[in-house]
Amino acid sequence: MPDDVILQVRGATKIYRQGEVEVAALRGVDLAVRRGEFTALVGPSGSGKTTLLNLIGALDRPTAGSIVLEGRELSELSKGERSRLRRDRIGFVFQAYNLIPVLTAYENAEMVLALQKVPAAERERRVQGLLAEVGLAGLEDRRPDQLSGGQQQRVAIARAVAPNPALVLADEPTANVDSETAERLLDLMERMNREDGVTFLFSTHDPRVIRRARRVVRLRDGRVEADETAVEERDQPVA
Amino acid sequence: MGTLLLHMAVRNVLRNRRRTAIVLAGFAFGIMFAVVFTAIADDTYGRMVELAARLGGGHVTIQHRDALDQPAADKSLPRADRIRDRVVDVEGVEAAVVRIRAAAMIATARESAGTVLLGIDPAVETPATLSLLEAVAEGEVPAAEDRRGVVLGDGLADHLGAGVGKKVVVTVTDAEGEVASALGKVRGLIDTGAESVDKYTALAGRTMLASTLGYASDEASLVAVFLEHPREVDEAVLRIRAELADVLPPDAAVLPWYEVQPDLAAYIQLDSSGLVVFEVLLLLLIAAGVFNTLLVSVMERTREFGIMMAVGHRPADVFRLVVLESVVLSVMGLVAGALVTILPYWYLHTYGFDMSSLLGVDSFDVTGVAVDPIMRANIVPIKLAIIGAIVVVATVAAGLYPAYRAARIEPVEAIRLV
Repeated sequence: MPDDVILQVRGATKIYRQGEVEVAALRGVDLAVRRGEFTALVGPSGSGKTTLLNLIGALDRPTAGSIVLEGRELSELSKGERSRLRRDRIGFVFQAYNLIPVLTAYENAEMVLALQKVPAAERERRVQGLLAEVGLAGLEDRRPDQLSGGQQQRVAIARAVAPNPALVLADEPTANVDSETAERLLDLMERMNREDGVTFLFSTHDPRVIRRARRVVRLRDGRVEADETAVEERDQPVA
Repeated sequence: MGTLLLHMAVRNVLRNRRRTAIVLAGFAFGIMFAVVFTAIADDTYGRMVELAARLGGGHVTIQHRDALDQPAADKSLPRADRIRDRVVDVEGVEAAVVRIRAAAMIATARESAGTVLLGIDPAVETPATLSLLEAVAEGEVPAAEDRRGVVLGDGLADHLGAGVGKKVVVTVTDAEGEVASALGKVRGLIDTGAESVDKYTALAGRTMLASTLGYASDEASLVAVFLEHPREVDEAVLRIRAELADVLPPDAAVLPWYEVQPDLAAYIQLDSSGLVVFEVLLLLLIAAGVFNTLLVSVMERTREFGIMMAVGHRPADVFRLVVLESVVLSVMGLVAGALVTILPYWYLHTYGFDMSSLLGVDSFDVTGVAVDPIMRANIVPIKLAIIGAIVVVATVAAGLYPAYRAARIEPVEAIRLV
């Protein structure tokens, strides 16, 4: 695997059993993501986008296939190792923001750093810097219910990138905000990608996200239907 | 991380204020009832023990080892005055007096009655060592040199038809097993309010009773020892046994009050057991409230716990968070309990509550010990600490299952919930 490929998915299959019925959410997905990519997973509901993000995010295990993040095969990790991997190497941005309601914007953004036992002074420097970067300076002490949807999603982005993860997984990040806010969020993530080298992998239906993505992977019925950079990918020996 | 978890725990507890207020109200009133009832019981038991001690045997009784089971004149304590002089120097001993106790028949020309005659040294006895002295309703206690004077309980006097100034004949079985009699004159009457005491009690000078029983000058029935801290009776008994080993006769026994007064000890044990059952029920109710609150709270926050685990918290962190919430609840509960308890405790401690109108009597007795109908609160400090500790332990225990449930949440399933 070349050095700049941080994620390698091979033949990822996920089958859910509901009683006697088996439902295949993913059917042998192959995907490689390079450091610094800004990639959108696109597809209709039920195409397997969220399932694939859950597998990549070490939240779930594939029924078959392998997922390697920074050289580590996820299915071989223990529960504790998966928790540490999520804490240290993966950032999550959810559709419904999913901030902890009893924590302030600052504390939400700081939470993962505190888990990592980053010294308080360093935490403060990084979190204050990030909140300023996402445009929330002065709102640090507000709780989620005192912030707009867009502001909450900015806090979620700050939380996701604070520990310098290898990969940020964003599941429909613009689905719950208005158009203007969605554009601002995309500006923010695009800038972080361009200036700070943060790697983003989105699942989305949103044409605004698809338009901005530098790579679009289309899923249908649990399979990769198209990959706009697939030709480039094949030209480079990533597998 | 610990600080952040603690902040989260406090805020989570305060999140649903109405629900928390209901739980805290349960804590507050549960703790108040537990403390107040324990305090009233402690005060009542303490006063009963004190009164029983001042009715005859002291907090610690030194007497012949068989005197308890076979009370007879020959079960006497030689060298009683020397023992008394030594025991007052033992740490924690406030006072000690020598007494003679004898089963006696007191007769007038009209009637006779069996009684327990207590021979005392009027020169050294005070109401602090003999409560009967403060219950002299008529006449007076015979002077030290008075070799004929007796004081009767007013119930006994009524029965005998013997008022102050009347003559009585005191008949006892002496140390040799012979019947011996002495002429006495009633100098005073006692009214303690406890019928069983007033009907069967009589006092006489120690000198008169010793000569009637045929005792040597330093021979007596017992030495009654009074302690500075009656609750430390077991330690005092051990110290007295050790420090008086050279002066105690081989057949002497050093006994705590609860062995000398087994009926009173059994009553206190039984009554306090009932109180413990009541308090356990109260604590179970508190724990059930906490369990329900935390379990509902955990179920409502399934998605939140899923998010926490998705971003890197371990299940153990989530477990710790919910347990911390139960600790926070218990601390807040203790504060609420203290706030609600202070006023009624202060009132009952300072003024007490007069039960006589509810009971319909001015006084009553338990196993021969008069009980004050005014209830007062005076808790033993260690019991306050025990109640607090039990509240915390029960609350944290009630939080363990909800914490376990929270830690078992699978993040991938939890974050699907909306």
